[in-house]
Amino acid sequence: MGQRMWIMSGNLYTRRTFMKILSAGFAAGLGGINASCKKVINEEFFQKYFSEMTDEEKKRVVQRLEEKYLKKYGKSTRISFGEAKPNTLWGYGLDLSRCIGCRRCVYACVRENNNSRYKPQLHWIRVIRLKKGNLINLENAEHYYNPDKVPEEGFIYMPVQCQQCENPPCVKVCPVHATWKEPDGLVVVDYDWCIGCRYCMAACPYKGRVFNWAEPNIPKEELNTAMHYFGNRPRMKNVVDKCTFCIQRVRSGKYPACVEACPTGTRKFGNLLDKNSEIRYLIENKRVFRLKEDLNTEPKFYYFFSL
Amino acid sequence: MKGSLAYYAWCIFLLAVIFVGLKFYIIQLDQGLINTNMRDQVSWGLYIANFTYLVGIAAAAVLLVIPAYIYHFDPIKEIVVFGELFSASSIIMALMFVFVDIGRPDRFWHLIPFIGKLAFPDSLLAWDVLVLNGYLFLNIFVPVYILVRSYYQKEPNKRTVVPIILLSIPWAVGIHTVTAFLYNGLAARPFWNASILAPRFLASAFCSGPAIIIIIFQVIRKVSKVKIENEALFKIAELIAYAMFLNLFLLGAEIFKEYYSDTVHLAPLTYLYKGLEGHTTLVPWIWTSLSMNLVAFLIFLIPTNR
Repeated sequence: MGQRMWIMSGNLYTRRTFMKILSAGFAAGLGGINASCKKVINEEFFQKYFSEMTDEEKKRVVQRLEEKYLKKYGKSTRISFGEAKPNTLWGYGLDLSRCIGCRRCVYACVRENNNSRYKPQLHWIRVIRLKKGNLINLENAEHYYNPDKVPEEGFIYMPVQCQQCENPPCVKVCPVHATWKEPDGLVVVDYDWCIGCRYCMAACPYKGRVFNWAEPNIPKEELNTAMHYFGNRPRMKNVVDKCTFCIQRVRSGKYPACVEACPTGTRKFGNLLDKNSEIRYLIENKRVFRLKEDLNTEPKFYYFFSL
Repeated sequence: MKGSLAYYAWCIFLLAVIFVGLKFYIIQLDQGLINTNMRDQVSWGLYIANFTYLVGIAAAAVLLVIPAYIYHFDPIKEIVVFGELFSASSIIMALMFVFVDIGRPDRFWHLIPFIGKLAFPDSLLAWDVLVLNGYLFLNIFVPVYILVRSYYQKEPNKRTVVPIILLSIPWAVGIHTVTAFLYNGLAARPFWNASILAPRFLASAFCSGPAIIIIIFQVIRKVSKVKIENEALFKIAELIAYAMFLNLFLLGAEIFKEYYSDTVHLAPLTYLYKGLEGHTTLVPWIWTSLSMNLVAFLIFLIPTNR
């Protein structure tokens, strides 16, 4: 009995000193962080789910983010929570006869949306090159084409980005509801809620989503300061992001950056619920198709050939 | 009970390995998952692969529990607790793999039901969080309960323990089925989006889990005074033979379907077994795995070889 007590107290003794050392080190580490830094860390850690935040809390979040970007990039930014306009469902049209594969849309998107430029280089738009006569079999697509001049003879080019599906598989699989479909049809990610599990990336049939594998590298001079909370505000490492049809632009009456950047008029955009919109005209008068329609994702990205 | 020198040396070795892992994990936390060399093209790698493997071997404890508690096979009944502890430790490892794989472990609380926003029942990952933690609880509760009762020199109360153990049988099948459904439900991945996935996962798990259990029992026999009868190991080997047959049969079914139909969906299998366009990194691994499966099956099939 006495021996057991000795062993027990022996164990307790070593455990107690271990805990003492551990907590001393922990306290020393914590003490090194000054008070305001700790407050920000606490606020970031405990930030509530978006739809459960009050307007006050959302304002506070935006304030904190704007302070953070000011410190990091030296520019004052404007982050809006612009809501979906009523009776709006955004649709995209892409004229495959006109795309020359110049990738201007890709880089306009990167600049507009504050994507990471390198380590990792994140492109929301992927242009793939297809051999003429072999269209729907995407197994033969080439994403890394690199000729001196485009377009190349015998090939067509097909840009792909998030298709803003009406029945999105990515939304279905997110374990924390960090991504959802907005009333105007845009599938958004709350970068502050995403846990970075990348299940949505596995679920997307179009490779529409990218992951910030490291802290994004954005040159300060090129920061686009007109931001939206769900759109182009700079992301942090280890979260998912994707094309949002330039939510910061379309909700204030502008076209997405890719539509404006395209030199050949390949890209069309509009409100699917507006009878007189360009996109409705295209769907009703051109032979439109969508990618992987047999997967029932109901994408809003309509491809067609005008010639 | 005090451990021998070898025991403490082994513990220190394991702690050293843990320490090295922790060091690299801190680097990963600091720099981002870019250090894993995963990229958008392959956004799930060894972390998730090992997670799936560990869930599988955790489920395999059921192959000990069924003979012990349903068929009252005595040689196994004495050692079933080891199987449950083995399950508990592999589940802990599986959960840790998920933890190091998610990009934002600081947002881990988002996964806790009611406190965060767990997307149950829509997301299979949400199901996995619940069933894995439930299984962990079952497999920790029973051995700890039995240990505490025996510390006080009392027999475990059968009415407490047996229902929980019986619950762990379908639950074990459940954890690996949910993990299989995680992949199965992705229409975007045709190689996974096949009904055969859950049966195949279970069949292969019931091969690899008991195999590790056999190795562990041999080690236990050598280094401690715990008696494990040969009959127990023979029975486990016999069960592995049945599971391996199912595993190989399902593999054969997969191979037939893809090679005979010869659609574009043949590509993943070709990539594994022959390589695609010069990319052959995985080919030696899959062939080694396949040959080991076949050899193991033949060894365990013949009773005298066990």
